[in-house]
Amino acid sequence: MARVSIEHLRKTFGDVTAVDDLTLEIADREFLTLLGPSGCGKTTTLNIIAGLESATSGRVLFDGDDVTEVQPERRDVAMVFQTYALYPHMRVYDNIAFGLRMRGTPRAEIERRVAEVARAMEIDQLLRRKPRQLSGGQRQRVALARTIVRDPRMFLLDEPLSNLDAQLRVSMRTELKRLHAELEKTFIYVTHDQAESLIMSDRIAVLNLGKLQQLGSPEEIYNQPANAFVAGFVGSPPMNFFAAELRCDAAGCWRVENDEISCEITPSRAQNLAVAAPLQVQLGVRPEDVEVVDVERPAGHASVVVREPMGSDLFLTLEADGTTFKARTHPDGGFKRGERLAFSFAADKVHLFARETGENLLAAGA
Amino acid sequence: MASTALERRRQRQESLFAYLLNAPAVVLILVLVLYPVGMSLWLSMHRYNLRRPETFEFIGLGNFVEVLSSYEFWHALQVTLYFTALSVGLVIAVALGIALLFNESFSGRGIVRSLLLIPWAVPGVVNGLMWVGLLGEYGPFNEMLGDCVELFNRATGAQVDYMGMASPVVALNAAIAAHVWRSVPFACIIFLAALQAIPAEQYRAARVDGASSWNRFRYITLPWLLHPILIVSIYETMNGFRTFDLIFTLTGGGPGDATYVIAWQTYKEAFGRLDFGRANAYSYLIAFITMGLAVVYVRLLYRRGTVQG
Amino acid sequence: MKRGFVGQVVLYGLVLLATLYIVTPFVWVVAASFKQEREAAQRHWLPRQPTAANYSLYFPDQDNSAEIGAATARQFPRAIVNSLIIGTAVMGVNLFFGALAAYALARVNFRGSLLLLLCYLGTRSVPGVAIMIPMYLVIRSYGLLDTHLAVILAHSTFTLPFTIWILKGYFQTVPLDLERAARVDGCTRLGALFRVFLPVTAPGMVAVGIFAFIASWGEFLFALLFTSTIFSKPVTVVASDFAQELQVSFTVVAAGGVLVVLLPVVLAFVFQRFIIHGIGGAVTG
Repeated sequence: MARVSIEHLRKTFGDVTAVDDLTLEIADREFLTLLGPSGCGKTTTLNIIAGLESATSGRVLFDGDDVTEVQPERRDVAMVFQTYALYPHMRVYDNIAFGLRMRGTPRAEIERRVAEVARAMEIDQLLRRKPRQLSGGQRQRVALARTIVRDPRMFLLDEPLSNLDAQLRVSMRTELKRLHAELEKTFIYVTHDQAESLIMSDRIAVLNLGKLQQLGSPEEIYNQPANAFVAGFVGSPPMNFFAAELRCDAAGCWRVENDEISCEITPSRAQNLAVAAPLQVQLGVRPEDVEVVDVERPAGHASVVVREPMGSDLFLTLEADGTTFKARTHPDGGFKRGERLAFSFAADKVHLFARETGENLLAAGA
Repeated sequence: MASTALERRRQRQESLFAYLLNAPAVVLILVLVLYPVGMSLWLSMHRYNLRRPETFEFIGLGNFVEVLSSYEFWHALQVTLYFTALSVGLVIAVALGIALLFNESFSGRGIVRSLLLIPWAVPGVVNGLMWVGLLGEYGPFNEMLGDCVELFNRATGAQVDYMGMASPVVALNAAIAAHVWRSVPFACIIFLAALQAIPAEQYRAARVDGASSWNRFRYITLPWLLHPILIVSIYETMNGFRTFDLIFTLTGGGPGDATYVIAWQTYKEAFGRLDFGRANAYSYLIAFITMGLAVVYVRLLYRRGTVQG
Repeated sequence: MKRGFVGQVVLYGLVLLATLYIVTPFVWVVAASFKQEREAAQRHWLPRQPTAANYSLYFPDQDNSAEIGAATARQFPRAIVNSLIIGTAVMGVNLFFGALAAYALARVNFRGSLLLLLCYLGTRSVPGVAIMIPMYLVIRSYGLLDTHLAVILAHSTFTLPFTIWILKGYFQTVPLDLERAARVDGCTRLGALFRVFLPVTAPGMVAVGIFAFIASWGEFLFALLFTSTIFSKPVTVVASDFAQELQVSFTVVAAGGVLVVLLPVVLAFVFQRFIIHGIGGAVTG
């Protein structure tokens, strides 16, 4: 059992606020990702959960017990670091056994458990080596083995894949997911890689400038971003934004327009709008929601500036009167550089954000 | 954002922990450096001679006036300045030359670099004894110098007498040579470390840009070496000022008072004449000069942003 | 870069010259220490009939007390033991207290750390002669004159700031995550320091330890002031007696010099990687 509650957590370093009034409930056995750009406070939050940094104010509770003042060695959490932090002066075996020794586990049991974990992580051939004799992927496995062997109440992972090469990263993602399923423990995972967070998490907490932006399942985060920051941060290539004006015409039909584009909002979605038109907004459209084939009612016209074929997809960088944006299309579309084309947006997928606050105006709960 | 009481308490605990870890070193320095520095000032204002221990009388700046108006002080200062200035210049020139040379690639580089450690590991006392032999009546350097003077005499028809270490000029410069020999390796190792820290890409980029080897030295190597040169010169200045052991065994201050450096003069004043009051005035003057240098040291380092707080 | 033939010749010529400059004085002294006494006055460099007689003076069981300089030479074994005791203690003090202080400076964010650092830096630049008299009086007032402890204290005071300075720089290069991993693995703060941090920093510790030892071994001024009998005199002080004994043959002095230099030179060679790194780190670190 490991339910983690973070209540009104705040952390300041001098004048800098790293974490700003963060409240978060993490369920037992959940895979929760803290996602955000560097400096958003995600690692600080993880360190506070581990007890490695102290909170300026607020509380951290494990299963309802306040652990805010508890030293890290008494929290029974395990942590995987971005740099792996393997002890360079110890052999792999001792690296894995270290935590058990610190807890006074009997020698025979240590041997048994290390052997078991080493076999499971397929590093049993490496136990006599020193960390510097290992490859990046092997170090990663040792770092994981070191945490698993202790059977801790939860796992904290601080960008564990960011030092691996692209291929290894993909396979380790799968491995981590499998581990999570097998171990049946709470995982709190920190990353700046939005794709990683979408693939692995049960829920994602998006942080920016120390503030929680949105907490939700990967689908929610992707399809119903709470604000322009989340919308722009999650998704690759990122969402296109257009500065435009939201108007309501005589027939009660909502439209978003600027000099180049004009797009209608589906009436069923527009009923969530509780604003006074006209309003300055940001129109957000993901590249896959920009339609350039068989356009019936064009939102505007643009010319192709760059073609980026990606095998299964073709990404086009389009330019409409100084505004550039990206569209995803099928690779056999056959577009040429310089070609002029009509485009439209998938009306039921576009997002509207208030220009000032960035708040999503069409989100169900907004 | 105001910090909470909890955080302030934690901060205090952190500070306490840090001070606790520093306590032994700080206590040692307080008792054996800072307290003596203060006591030195106090003693320097008293008539205090161990030969007459019953007289301990406050005379204000009397000792300083006496010292500053004495021939011995100015002579010692002059000798020290000459010794230090020449040593610093020579150490930097020789060490820089050797470092640039040993930074080239050639076979046996590792061996000659380790040989550098020999002079460094020689204690000053032994260095003095060594050079007594080297420059003594039958020493090779003495003979070389003698031969040189003879050649000079024959070539110019001059009548220069070579008296070896009995000559004040030879003795003082010999002391400098011995001091420089022992000091070069340290500076050299620093320069080598600095040279190795220069990213190779900078040289490649400069070659691509068509810079000549002189220009590469002038615009890449030299700027990277400025900081180490600064550090070495300050370090060596202080080293020059405190030279004592070498003088003790090599010349004993002689011939006459030719090699009376200020450290030697102070030692003589204190443990020769047992005039602790006056010797302390000397001490304070030395401390004053070197503390001034230390301030310059810290200032210069700070301006270059190398001291991390 | 390719060097032409002439370039190669010039380079190796210069290297030879530099190497000769570095080793000649020492080599000549070593050679002299194996010469017969009468050979000392001859111009040749290498001993024609090498002898260990000069060294045998330094071993007290030989009955050659009549030789000039034997009185000083006879004190060497005991003086070397004194130097070993003092140097080892100074090394220990430096490693233990220096590491603790440096750890705090490198890892703990606390008020006054900069001041402390400047205090250490300032101490490094106080010349010994400037405080030798009050220090002498302090040591005397505690009745420590002519004890090992007096010399150990003095040497520790002058080596600690350098040790702390170097170690602080070195400690900062150790990733913070290592200690954090240790904490999470169940170590207390001090446990992480002693089980993970200090073992990881062993190379740097070896360097400063050897540094402190060699510095203590070679120090002269305070050793001279604080010791007066063979029960505490270190080897530098005993060796300095030769400076007063003008009639001692240089071959004997040379042997003594070699004996004094032997240990620091061997240590410097054995630990050269650490030492060169340490000196270099003094500036670049």
